Amino acid sequence: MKATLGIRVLVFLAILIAGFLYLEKVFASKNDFVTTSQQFDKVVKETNIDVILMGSSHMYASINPLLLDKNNKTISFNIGTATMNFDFTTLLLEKVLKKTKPKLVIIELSRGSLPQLSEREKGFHLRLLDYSSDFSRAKFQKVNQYFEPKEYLGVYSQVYRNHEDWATVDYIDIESEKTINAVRRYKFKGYTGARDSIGPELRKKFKDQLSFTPKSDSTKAIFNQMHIDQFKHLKALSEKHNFEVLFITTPDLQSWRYNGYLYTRISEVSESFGFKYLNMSNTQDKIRFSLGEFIDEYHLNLWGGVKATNYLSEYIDQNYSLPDRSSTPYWQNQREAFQDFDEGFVTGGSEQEVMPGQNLYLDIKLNRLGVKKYADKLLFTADFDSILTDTLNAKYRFVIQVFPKKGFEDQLSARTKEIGRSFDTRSVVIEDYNKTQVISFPTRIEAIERLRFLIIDNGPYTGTKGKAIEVKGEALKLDL
Amino acid sequence: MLFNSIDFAIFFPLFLAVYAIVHKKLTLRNAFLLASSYVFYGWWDWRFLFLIIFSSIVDFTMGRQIFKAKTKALKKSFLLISLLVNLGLLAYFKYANFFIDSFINSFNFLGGQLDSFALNIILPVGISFYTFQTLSYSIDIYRQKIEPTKNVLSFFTFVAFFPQLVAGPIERAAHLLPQFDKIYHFDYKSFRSGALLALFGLFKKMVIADRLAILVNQVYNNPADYGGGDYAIATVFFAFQIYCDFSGYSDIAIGISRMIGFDLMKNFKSPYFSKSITEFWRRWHISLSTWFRDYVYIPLGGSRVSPPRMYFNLFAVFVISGLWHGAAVTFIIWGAIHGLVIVIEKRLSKKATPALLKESKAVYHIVGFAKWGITFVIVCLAWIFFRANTMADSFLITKGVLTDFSIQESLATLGLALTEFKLSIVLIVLLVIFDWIHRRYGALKVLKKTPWVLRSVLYAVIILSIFVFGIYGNDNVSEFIYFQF
Repeated sequence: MKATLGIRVLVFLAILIAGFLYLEKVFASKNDFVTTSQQFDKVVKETNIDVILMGSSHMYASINPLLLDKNNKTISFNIGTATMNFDFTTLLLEKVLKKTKPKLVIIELSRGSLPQLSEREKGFHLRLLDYSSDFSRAKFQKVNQYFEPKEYLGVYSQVYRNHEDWATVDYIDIESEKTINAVRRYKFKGYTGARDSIGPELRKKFKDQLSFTPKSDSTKAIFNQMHIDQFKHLKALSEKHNFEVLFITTPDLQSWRYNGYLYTRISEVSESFGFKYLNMSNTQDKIRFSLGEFIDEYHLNLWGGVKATNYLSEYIDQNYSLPDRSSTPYWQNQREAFQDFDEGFVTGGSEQEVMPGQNLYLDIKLNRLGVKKYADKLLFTADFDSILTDTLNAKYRFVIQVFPKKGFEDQLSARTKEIGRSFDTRSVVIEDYNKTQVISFPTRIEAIERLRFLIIDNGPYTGTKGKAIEVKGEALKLDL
Repeated sequence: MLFNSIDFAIFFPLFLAVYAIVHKKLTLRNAFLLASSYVFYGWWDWRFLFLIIFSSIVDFTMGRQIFKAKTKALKKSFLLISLLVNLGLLAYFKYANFFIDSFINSFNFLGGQLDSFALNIILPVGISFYTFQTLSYSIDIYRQKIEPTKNVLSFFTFVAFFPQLVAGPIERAAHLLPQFDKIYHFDYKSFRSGALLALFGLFKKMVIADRLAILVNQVYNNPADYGGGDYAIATVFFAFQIYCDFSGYSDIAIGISRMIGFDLMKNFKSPYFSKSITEFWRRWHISLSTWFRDYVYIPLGGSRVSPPRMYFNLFAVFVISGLWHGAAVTFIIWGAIHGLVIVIEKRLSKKATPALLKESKAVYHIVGFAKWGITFVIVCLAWIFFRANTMADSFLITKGVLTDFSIQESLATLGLALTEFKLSIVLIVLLVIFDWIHRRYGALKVLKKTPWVLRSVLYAVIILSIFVFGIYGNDNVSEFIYFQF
């Protein structure tokens, strides 16, 4: 009788625990860092990672590990996560160190990653806490430090936290990853490169920012004992696990001019602990960023990331001696990715402006249109202006048509030839008139006779809205 | 402390762990129960513990004095002291502002001029429940139904017993008090059935009641924004909300009491299957309706008086019951509606049953169904007054329900997303099916016939459903409606 009862209780507990673990998976938060950590876990199964890049969105938007690997013949991974506070660095690093043995850990520090967490930022740090083991003492210490006891259950249980999504979660495909908009963002090994660039309003606001000289500021209180403790903890970890630490600050437009003191303080403290510090916000002159290489006031876009990564590569090359991994199978397997990235984003010519501002339809004005040539595609960037943005957003498609010169019709795409058109075409929905539209236009046409731009309905085709704009002859001086 | 709070989720396992050690030593067990009950109550506001302690002292002392008194007059005097103290406390904490407000309104209505004001009084949680419980002790001693206990610890624990302290069931001393003088022997079956009942209560509260409350609160707190159809949906939802909320609390109270070896009286018996309001009150909040029967209706003469007087007694009891629920005219009207319908039912019940009803089973069922429908509609109409924030809102909603059948274009404006609304309907249907099965076959009997593996799966599913579909409210916890009474 007792044995039967015992077995029944055990079976019940087993069912309950299994059900709970299943639901924990079903309701697991889907976010960029989950994707990043899944990719990280995949990579560490294949190879050891020599360079770990950590920090906030500034880090994952600025340093491209693929490019770093290519330049420095290393194997690196960018495990940056949105809003990551410096105080959580060692929590994440301790988890990382259980999986791989880095030679160099690069940690991004900025004005935003040092203050105490706000309520909103607490939510973002659940991403890191989810990645740490529920049985970790370090995790409990952080939870205890930043969360109220009544929040503990929500921190530790994702079912409890996300249960309100019961109608939308996938109960079958529980390992599904968050869908990434590959058209707007390039994502690889934790790096996220935006293909958009800063909008016209911010361009206006920050037009003189890149030539601004950083000043001392009022941020003296930001750097405190808690940060010194993290440095101590990092020092202990670096000695125990035998890796070097490099702190960096990535370029941003908004706050760099206010943070002179802060940067000096970080530099002093880093030096006192024997760590190096590279402040890329103070090296604008050397790197020569343009406003078009930012996605917003805080983050570089994909092309800005290329510049920042190349600069960091040089710095690493000069200051650290990392093992050459170019002969390893993992590094060799990345060759195709190097090539794709080069052809897609690096080796293209510089952007050229092809037309002045002209009105397209209603009050929709095409303020600026730039074009770059890559291996087999043209990359257009278009800035619009419309005071009716709220009513027009997502209502229309912007169409680009590329006509070849006479005699070069064979360069038209197969699809164009099939339907008997005389131009290659591509269209995008204009979702936000305040953002720069980036249109990747795959085409083999090299001898361009004219470009044509127009607006159509985002729905069943009802003809051209307003007037099409054509650029040809003298106005079309492209050196692609 | 609320049963559906994290605090209780930590408190109760710790309580059980210690209880497992102390349960065989009577004094130690009762002392631990009393201390735990005071912690449970003091968690909300420790200052009001003094009120419970004071009430316990008065009733323990008066109980002894009533018993010892040689003359009827003396007994009556001690009983009067008990009544005055208990009802005085209740009147002060619960009704002072209501009486002041009513007096000022009446005075102004008659031409006087008084500015309205309110005393800054906090209503102690559960005061209506434990006051009625201790009152019944003194009255039963006076009526020589029970003898007073000599054990002060048992009595104090009886008054403060945490599972039923703040929202009942309102126990009688004759039933609960002797249980504090018996040693508890662990019984797995009782423990399991208690846990299951508590779990089901938690499900009703967190998954059904609190989900329905979202829509109900949205409509009842903004009645001017909605039409008659919306009021009807919100009122039916409220009918199930308050049922799941209150019977859920009772289930948890009875369940956890059973887990630790105490038997509490049943408080609900599928009330919405009633075919008359009279039957409804035999199935709804049974501990309160029997309390009013025993301590108000019968002393007024019960049914041993002339029919008009009996009808008056019935009506009066329900008006008082309305006032017990809350110090507002809306509650009095709610009680009055029930009283009035019960009087009408009593009057009609004297007429002979038509022969057709006795002969034809089909007619019997059709009439039964109609009676059930009418009863449910009356109960729902009365709930409008119970739930509405003001009298004006009550009339607006009642008028809307009866005359206007318009409904919002989008259900989302009622406060619940469409999926949540659909789930709410499914849950109501499941609840009705469950109540029907329970009423007809007994849920525990059905469960006993189910293979144990399937039962284990079912229990696990209920627990996990609470996690997934539970509504956690502000600060991750939402109060039970009956706490305010």
